[in-house]
Amino acid sequence: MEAVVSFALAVLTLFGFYALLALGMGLIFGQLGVVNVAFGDFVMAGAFVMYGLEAVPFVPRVLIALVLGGALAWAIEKLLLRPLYVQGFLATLLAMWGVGIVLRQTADAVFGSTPASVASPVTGSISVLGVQYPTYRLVATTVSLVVVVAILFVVYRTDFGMRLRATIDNREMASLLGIPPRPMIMATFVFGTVLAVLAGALQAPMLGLTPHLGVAFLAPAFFAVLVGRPGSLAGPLFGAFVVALLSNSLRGLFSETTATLLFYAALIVLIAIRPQGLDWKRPQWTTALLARRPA
Amino acid sequence: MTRGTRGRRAGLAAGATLALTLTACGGSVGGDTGGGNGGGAADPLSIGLMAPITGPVASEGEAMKMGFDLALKEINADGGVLGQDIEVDFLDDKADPAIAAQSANRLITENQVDYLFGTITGDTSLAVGKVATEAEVPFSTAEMGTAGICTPYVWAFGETDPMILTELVPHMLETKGTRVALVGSDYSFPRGFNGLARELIEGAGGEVVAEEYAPLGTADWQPVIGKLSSAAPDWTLSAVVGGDAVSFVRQADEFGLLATSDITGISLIQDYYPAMGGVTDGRELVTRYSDALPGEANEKFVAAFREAYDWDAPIPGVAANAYEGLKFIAAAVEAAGTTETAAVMDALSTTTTDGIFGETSFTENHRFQTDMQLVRVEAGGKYVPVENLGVVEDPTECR
Repeated sequence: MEAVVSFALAVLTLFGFYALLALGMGLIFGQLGVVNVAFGDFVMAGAFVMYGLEAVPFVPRVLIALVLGGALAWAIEKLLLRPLYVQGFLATLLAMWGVGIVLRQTADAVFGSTPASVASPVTGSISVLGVQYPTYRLVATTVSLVVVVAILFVVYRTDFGMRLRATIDNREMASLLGIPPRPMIMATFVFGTVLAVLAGALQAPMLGLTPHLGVAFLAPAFFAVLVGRPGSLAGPLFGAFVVALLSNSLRGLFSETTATLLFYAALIVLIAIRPQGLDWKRPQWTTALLARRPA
Repeated sequence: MTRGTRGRRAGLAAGATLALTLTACGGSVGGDTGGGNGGGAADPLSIGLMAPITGPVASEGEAMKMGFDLALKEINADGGVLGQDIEVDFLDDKADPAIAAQSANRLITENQVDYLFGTITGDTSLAVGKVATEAEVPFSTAEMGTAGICTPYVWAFGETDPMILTELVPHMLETKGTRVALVGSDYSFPRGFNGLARELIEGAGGEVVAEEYAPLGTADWQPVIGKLSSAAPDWTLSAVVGGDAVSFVRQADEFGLLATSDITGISLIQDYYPAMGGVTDGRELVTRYSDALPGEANEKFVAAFREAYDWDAPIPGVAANAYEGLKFIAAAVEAAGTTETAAVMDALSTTTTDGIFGETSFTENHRFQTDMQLVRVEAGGKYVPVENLGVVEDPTECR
C-alpha cells in the first residue's frame, strides 16, 4: 500500500510540473507554430530569479518572476519572432535556440556556474495515507494543478478562451469575425512563457541551480506535446500525464540510465505508431499570412 | 493531413531531436593527433590551459582556472620561470572530448606550447592525454581522479580514488555502521570511485545494500532516493557531482534519507557547499584540501584567493590543486633549467615542494602525493581538519 501511495505521489508531483511545461509549450506551438527550444531555459530563468531575489518573501518573489518572464516574452515576441513568422518554423526554431543560449550565458555571467539553491518556504513533511512526503512538494504540486485547472477554465469557459481557441483553430476566420490575431499571438506567447517561468520558480527549492538546468526539461515537455491527444488544448496535459507515469514507472523498475533510455525509446515508438499525434492544430495562419503577400 | 501540418510535425520532431541532442552529455569522438613541439632552452615557459568554463562542469572549470591564474600571477610577479614570465594560452574545452582534443592540437601546433594543463571531465582528460602523448608534450590535470590515461607524458595533480577512499571507508564503517549505499552520476569517474569503494567495503566486512547511478542533468531524484531509503543504509557514499549533487543531497534531506543515514563522498566537497543550505553540516569526508589547513603557505593562498576573487565560500579543492600544480611545474622547470620536454619530465619526477598541502612529490606512477585530511563540515562552510591522515598511497599500477 505504501509503495502504491509513494508511486502515486511521485507521478502526481512530476505531472504537476510537466503539465505546466506541456501546456505552455503546447499553447505556443498551437498558436504561433513556434518550436520553442528555449522553453527549458525559461524554466531555468524562473528558478534563477527566485535565487537572485532571495531577500524578497517567497510568494511575491514568484509573482516578480512571472512579471519579469512575461516582460521578457513580450520583448522576444515583438522584436524577434514577429518578423520571422513568415519565414517558417525553422527560422523561429533557430531564433529560439539563440534565445536559449543567450539566457544560459546571461545566467552564467550574472550568477556564475557554481550550483546555487533556493530555500524552501515550507519545510518538513506530512503523512499522506501512511507515507511521509515533503510538504513543499505537495504545496508546489497543488499550486501547479490549481493553475492548470484555472487555465482550462479560462480556455473553455470564458470569452477570452473562446477567442483563443478560435484563433488557434482558424486564425483567418477568427480575424474576419473581429478577433485581432496579433494581440492573441502576443498573449499566447507571453502566457506560455510565464507558465515555464512559474514551473521553474516553483521547482527552484528542490533543485541545484545551474545555467544548464533547463536543458533536462526540454525533451519531456516536447514529448508531452507530441504524445498529446489531437484536437484539444487538453492534449498536452494528457501527454504530460503519460510522460510522468512512464518516467516514474520505468525509473522504479530499472536503473536511472536504463530507464531514461527506455523512456525516450518508448515515446519515440508511441509517436511513431500514433502519427496523428500532432494533428491537434492546423497551421492555417501560416498559409493565411503567406496568402496576403503579393504574388 | 495538410502539407503544412506535416511540415510542422517535422518541425516539432526536429525540435525534439534537438532537445535530445542537448540533453545528451556530449558526444565522444576520439582525439586526433598532432605534430610535436620540442621547446627550447632560451624560450619562456609556455603553457596551454584548457578549462570547461561553459557546459555542465563550468563551475569546476572556473575554479581550476582561478587557482591557476592566481599561481601564475604570483610566479610572474616573483620573476617568472627561468627569468621570464610564464606565457599562457587559454581555450574553453566545453567539457567535450572532441573540442578538448582539437584545442590541445591547436595549442601544440599553432601556439607551440611546452606544457598542457587542465580539463575537468575524465573523457576530456583522456582525449587531451592522447594528443599530448602523441605530440610528446607533458600534460597535467588538476581535478580529482586520475587523468584516465597513464603515459610518461601525463602528470595528474588531482587526488585519486584510493587516496580518498582507503582511509575514509574503514573510518565510516567503524563510526557509522556497515550497511552502505553507493550513489553517483552516471559516467566513468563515479562508477570507478564507487567500484573501488565496494571493494574496500566488502573487504572490510561491510555490505553494499544499494548502488544507483543517474545521468548528469537529473533534476528529480525521488525514485533513486526511494530505492536507497528502502535499503536502509547506515551511510551513503555519494559520487553525484555538479548541480546534481545539490539536487540529490537536498532532496535526500527533504525525503528524510539523511535523518536515518549519514552521508559522505564527493557530493560534500567545498564546491557545492554554498547551495546545500546547511544540510551537510556535521558530516565528514576525506579531502586533500581545506582552506582551514594549517601552515603559512595555505594562509597566504587563502588570503590571496579571497581577495582576488572576492570569495567568501569554501575554496574548492580543484582551485588549490591547480594553484599548487602550477607552482610545482614552475619549480620543476626552474630545476630543469630549460623548457625542453625530457629535462622537464625528469625534473617533475624528482622535484619536491612544501606548499599549501604540505610536502608534495610525484611517485613513480605519476601520482601526486601529499597528506590527506579527514575533514568535518561545520556551519558556515568551515571544512575543519579533524585528523591529518598523512600520505595515503595509491598503489594502482599505471594502466
